[in-house]
Amino acid sequence: MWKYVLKRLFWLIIISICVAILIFSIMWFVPGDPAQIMLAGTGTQAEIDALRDRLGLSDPYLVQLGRFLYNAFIRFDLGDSYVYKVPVIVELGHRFPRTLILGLLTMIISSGIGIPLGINAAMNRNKFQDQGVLVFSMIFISVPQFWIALEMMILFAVKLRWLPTSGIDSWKCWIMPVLSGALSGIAMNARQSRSAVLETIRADFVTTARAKGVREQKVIYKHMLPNALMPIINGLGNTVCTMVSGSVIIETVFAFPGVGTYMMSAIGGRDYPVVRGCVLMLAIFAAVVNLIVDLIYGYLDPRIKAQYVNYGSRGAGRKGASA
Amino acid sequence: MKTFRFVKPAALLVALVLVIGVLAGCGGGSNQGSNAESGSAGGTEDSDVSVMDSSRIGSSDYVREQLTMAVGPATSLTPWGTSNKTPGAVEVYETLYGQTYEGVDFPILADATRGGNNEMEIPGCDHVEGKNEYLIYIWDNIYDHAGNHVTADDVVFSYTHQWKEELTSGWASLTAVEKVDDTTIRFEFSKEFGVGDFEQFFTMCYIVSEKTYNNSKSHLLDEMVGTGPYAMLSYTPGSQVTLVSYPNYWQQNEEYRPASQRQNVKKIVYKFISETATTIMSLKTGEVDLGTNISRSYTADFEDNGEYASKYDTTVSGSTSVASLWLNCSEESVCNDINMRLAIYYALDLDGIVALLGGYDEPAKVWACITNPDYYEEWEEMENYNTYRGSQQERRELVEGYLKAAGYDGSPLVYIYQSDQSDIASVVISMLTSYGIEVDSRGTDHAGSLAIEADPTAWDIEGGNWGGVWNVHAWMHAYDWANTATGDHTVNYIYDKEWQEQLELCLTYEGHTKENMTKYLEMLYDNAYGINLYIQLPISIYPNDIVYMYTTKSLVVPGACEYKEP
Repeated sequence: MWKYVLKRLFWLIIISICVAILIFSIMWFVPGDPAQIMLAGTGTQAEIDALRDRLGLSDPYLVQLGRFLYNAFIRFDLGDSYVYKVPVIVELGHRFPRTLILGLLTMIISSGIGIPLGINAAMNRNKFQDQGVLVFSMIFISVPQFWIALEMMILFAVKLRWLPTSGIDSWKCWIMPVLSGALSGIAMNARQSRSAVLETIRADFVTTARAKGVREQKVIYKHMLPNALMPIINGLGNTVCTMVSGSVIIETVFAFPGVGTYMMSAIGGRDYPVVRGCVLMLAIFAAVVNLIVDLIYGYLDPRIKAQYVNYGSRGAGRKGASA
Repeated sequence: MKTFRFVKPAALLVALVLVIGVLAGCGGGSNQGSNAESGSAGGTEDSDVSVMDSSRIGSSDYVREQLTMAVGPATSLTPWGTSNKTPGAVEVYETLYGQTYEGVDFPILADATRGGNNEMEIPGCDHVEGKNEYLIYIWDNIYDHAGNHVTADDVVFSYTHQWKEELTSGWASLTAVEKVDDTTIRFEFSKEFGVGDFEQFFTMCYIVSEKTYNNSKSHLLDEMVGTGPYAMLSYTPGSQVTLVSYPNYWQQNEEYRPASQRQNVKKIVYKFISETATTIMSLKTGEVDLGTNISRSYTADFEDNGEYASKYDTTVSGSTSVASLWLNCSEESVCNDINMRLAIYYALDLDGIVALLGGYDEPAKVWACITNPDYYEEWEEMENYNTYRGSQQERRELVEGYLKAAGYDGSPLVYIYQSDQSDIASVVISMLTSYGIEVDSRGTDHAGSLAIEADPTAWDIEGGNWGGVWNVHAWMHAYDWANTATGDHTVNYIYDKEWQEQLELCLTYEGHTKENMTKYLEMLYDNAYGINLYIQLPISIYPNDIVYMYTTKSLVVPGACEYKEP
């Protein structure tokens, strides 16, 4: 098992380097010059050229790439923002935990409500519970997040004055951002878990369990759910990654100072160190989340755990068979 | 198995509710705003606030407890840069000089009791005769919030640091900054001062104590320690910064304390909000007291009989700019032909453009900003395509005539615009198309547009905004040859040397006259080099206990505003 984990961690490093090279190259080829943007409208061409030299933007591609990779992976320095001069890693240290907490809370609520809803819908197929969940899912998967966010703000902040519109200075500031993201998450989780449970309901082992006289509760929670949960867990991992990396809309509407807004403003301004740093951090985060999801798989499914345990020992299976 | 019969009606009902919600929730309020006031930079007609009146230097009797202001997002508290927009920096830090909204310079750190021997007749400064050198004198009792004595050494440090290490523009002619004695600094330049140069050098560098800078772990990126009337109380990165009135502010002589350095609020909170809709809602809930640079399309609820008019008012403030079109005058573009340019210009009904965009801005009559000090109303009497307001039929005849003269064959012109200008682009394109001028639109971001501009084969029309304290600066930003790599044409490929020389003349102090500026405009219109579509007038929404709103050209200074007791 440890061999498997170590190998995944090794691949995590390789993936991170590949992502770093990829994002560096993409930003290199995307039109736009940071120096020109920073001085556009007020600076002369000579000033723009001088700024490019100072920022090291006049160096060749390989030199800049090498400098970036060395700083990022050897010195763990993601550079300073061109615009704000703040070290990227310092600013990410402020913002990433906020976005992470936002994403985790959203995931907890969306899965904590969505999964039971979906299970309930599947167990009561074609009844009003099922139809209600389908309608709810249809609505909140279709409706854009920014609209939900703005409408919640109008209702809870402007009309009812229950919650603040923006900021992070109190726990109340987190409620609307979390709920805005969670509603669509609940809808997706409900649909996914409903589909997963419906597939499992038709399985032979479930029919067998019922035929043996096992109580319905036990059939659901001991036989059906563990099998239905596999795709749901996979979805949860993706949900967390999506919430963390795609939170820019929620963050912008609620003036929530997270990674999303940081990266968006940097992309527009071609603030290369910030964009690279954010993308790299999100890539590493996604890889770690996927590793955790795979380990949870192994914990829940003995078949997969056996694969991890036997990982690297290819001959063991044959020896066991011949014996 | 029973089917839930009410699914379809329920779904329809929900859909209907959503549609109603969209229609009710989106868009403006119940009243559409009227056209913005033009003319002097004052308040709206019904506003009883007096704004931007620099003759007013008294402080208010009433000191507000707290004011919360919405500002754009900020990721650091750096004091550096000639375009510094750090929230609160104008309250915490000080420059040698300040500038009022009307463009009048006044000493802050500069000693108003000394100097004055200069062409601008500004105290605290002497122009060394026969040289491009200025001596600036500072007060000898300046202390910052850390208790450090700020002297000429710190002025030299601040200027040198900003000049060599930070983002500066318009400082190319600075050649040396040296200490003469503890309260005198010598600035040397490679050329004579032109219009706006004094402000560019002496109002755009915050003075920081070198000792304070070195003692700060982050070098003042996450803390603010200056000499100003306000000190930083707290900072939440990315969210807000809080300032409090500093009791030991160094300038206690009321005679020399400018209006900008008042302490009429005990606590100022700057909240970083990027989305205008969020700012508007924060104003409605009272979490924010003051919002600036707001488009008029959002202000209906705060004006006239709006729902929040009893608590707030609105006024034009902040930097105004011209929304203009560049036509590619290179040989690679059909717009190289003056007849084609004239056809495009006459196809644009400027009143119609403003009306279609909501009626919030001021249709332009001249390529200049009406709120700038060097604007002359006589320009509005010039007869050209910018002032043309003929009938549709007359307009059509003109356009068709110019198109025929240009030999236009119907091939599409490429129109590039930034995403925040998509509305303008749509309107302009529809007008051009209605006259048979085919257009391919290409939206991009700011960085992308700069890259496309550099390729003369890639575009024909571009929309943009230009502004400046003076109109000559707006012209400079749009048409100066120094903005291009080769320096022998404008960004839109105009190679007219005489026109460039006229601009350079207007940028000098002696040449900055109505006659020279008029000649520049005449050349612009005779050659159809550009058109101004409308003037963008950003609005500030402020609480109605403000009786005098103090603002520089681009910033409201809450501590310097005057308030009445509620």
